[in-house]
Amino acid sequence: MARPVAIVGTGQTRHCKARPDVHQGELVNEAVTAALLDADLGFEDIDAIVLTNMELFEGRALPELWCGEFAGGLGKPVMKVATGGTSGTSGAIAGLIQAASGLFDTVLVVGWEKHSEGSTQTGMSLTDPAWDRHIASGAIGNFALSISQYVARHGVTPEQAALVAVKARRNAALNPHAHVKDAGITVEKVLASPMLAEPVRLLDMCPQSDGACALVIAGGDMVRRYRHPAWFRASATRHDQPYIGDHDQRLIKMRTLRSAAQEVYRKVGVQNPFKEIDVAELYEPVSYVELAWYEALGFCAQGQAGRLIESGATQIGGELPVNPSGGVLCANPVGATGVIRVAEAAKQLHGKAGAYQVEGVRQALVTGYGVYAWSDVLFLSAAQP
Amino acid sequence: MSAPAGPPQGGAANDMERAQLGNRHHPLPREGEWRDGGSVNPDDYLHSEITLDMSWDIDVGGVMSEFFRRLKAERRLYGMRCSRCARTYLPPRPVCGDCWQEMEEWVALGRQGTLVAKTVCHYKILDSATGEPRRTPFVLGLIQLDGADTSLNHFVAAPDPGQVGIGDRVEIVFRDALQGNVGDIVHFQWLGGKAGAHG
Repeated sequence: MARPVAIVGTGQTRHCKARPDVHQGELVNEAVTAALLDADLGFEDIDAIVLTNMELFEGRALPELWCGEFAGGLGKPVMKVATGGTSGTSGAIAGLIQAASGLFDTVLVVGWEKHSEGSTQTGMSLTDPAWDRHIASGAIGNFALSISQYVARHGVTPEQAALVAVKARRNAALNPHAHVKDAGITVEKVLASPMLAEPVRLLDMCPQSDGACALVIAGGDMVRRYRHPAWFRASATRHDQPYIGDHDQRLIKMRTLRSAAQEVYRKVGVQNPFKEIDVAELYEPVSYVELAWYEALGFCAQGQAGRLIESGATQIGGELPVNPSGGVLCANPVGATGVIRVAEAAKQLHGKAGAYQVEGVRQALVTGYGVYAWSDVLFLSAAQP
Repeated sequence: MSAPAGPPQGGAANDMERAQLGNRHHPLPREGEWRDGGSVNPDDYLHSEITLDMSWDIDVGGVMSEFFRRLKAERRLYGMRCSRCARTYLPPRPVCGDCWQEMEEWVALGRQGTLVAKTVCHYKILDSATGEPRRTPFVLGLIQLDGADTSLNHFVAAPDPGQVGIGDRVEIVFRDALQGNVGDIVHFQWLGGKAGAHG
């Protein structure tokens, strides 16, 4: 990396089912204004802007045209990153690298989605028209197929998956920005929710949300103003072949996430991720998937994720809290979702996570997950690299 | 840089800062004052409903054109084998992504295959062939056809969805009048559990 850079401010809307009171630009402006306020900077202090949004879901082309102005982009370099679920983490990586290159001292990243405006399922079915599109099962059926293999191989139980959903909704009850929260949720309630695609039930799945999230990234002299910058240590991105059947047991092997995590651990010098990482914000659109990520990220041995969630180690107060914010299961405005993961990890390092603040956070891990198996991994820390 | 020399890390802004950062039409919300779908009346705001009737004409490419020509002529699926890693891909493609190797060898695939993953779906979707809602529950599977190293996701027809399991054998069902497109595959017929496999 050319020079050290850090996340110095974050801002989010309250994520919810529908925001009929604002258009996309107004939603973006809300998050950007909050992030500038958090970083104690003004519009004029931002050198460049990265936008992340999946415009097909809203049926609106060129979101950078309509929303760049509301992100404070006039007269500045503005670019858009759209890579499915990884859009937000990819956009954050792009912004961090722009600042680290020395090209800009401050970069603002803002991601958003307004699922209430469109038809997400249709958008996701519009894949390869020659082969893929006729099986318009969308995300749920395809997730369930991969999960069925994972369950068959490792004997993960519905109760263990439900513990992930319970942890998420209880954590979300502490987060003023979360969409789905339920302090009183139980394993029984998850198991009693409607079956969508076996073994995935309604409460195992993420919602579709309206929301936006922004980050302020600073390098050079700018970053010295801040007492607790969330330093960017490393990132890695992996693409993979497009069709769900291209790799057998994709969720079990998860070669993209595994390989990206190994690269990041090597760059930062992490030997034992479970012991050395203090908090993780993972992209878990389904409860079962969080368990698979524990294994791919080396938090536990293959096949031991069910036991790890049962141990309580990934709850707030445990040895490695995972998604203290409530995660994707509790807020999912897709273009913003990856940005939210990065923002929540940064908030933990800033000491600004409020009721879900994890004590003594020095190192934070972030993942993004998109399309069938793309992966982003980022590592943030309190220590300047 | 002309940043105000405020307290490091921002922190709770006072009302004056909020007034400067927000505006009359779009005041910055305070926590507890969020203007979200739960606290606003949707009828107070205008919507603009758009229905698009658009069409696309997408080229499927040289390899898939040949794949569909063979499907229509022979009622059979073909994969493509990488000469370097020996993986046989379905759907075929001109280049093996892992090896970055151009592929040329067409491999005839079997009509039967093995379920490597399955799920019973209880949510409503439209049947792309009929435009009507598909009856629930329906079975979705990942099928590895004999001779292929990759699998395809498709519907599995079985008398009792609960009986279908990973490892079971299935057989491809084509529509009667082939058109040379992916819609020629209607579904996969379940051939019974592992014990009663037809081989």
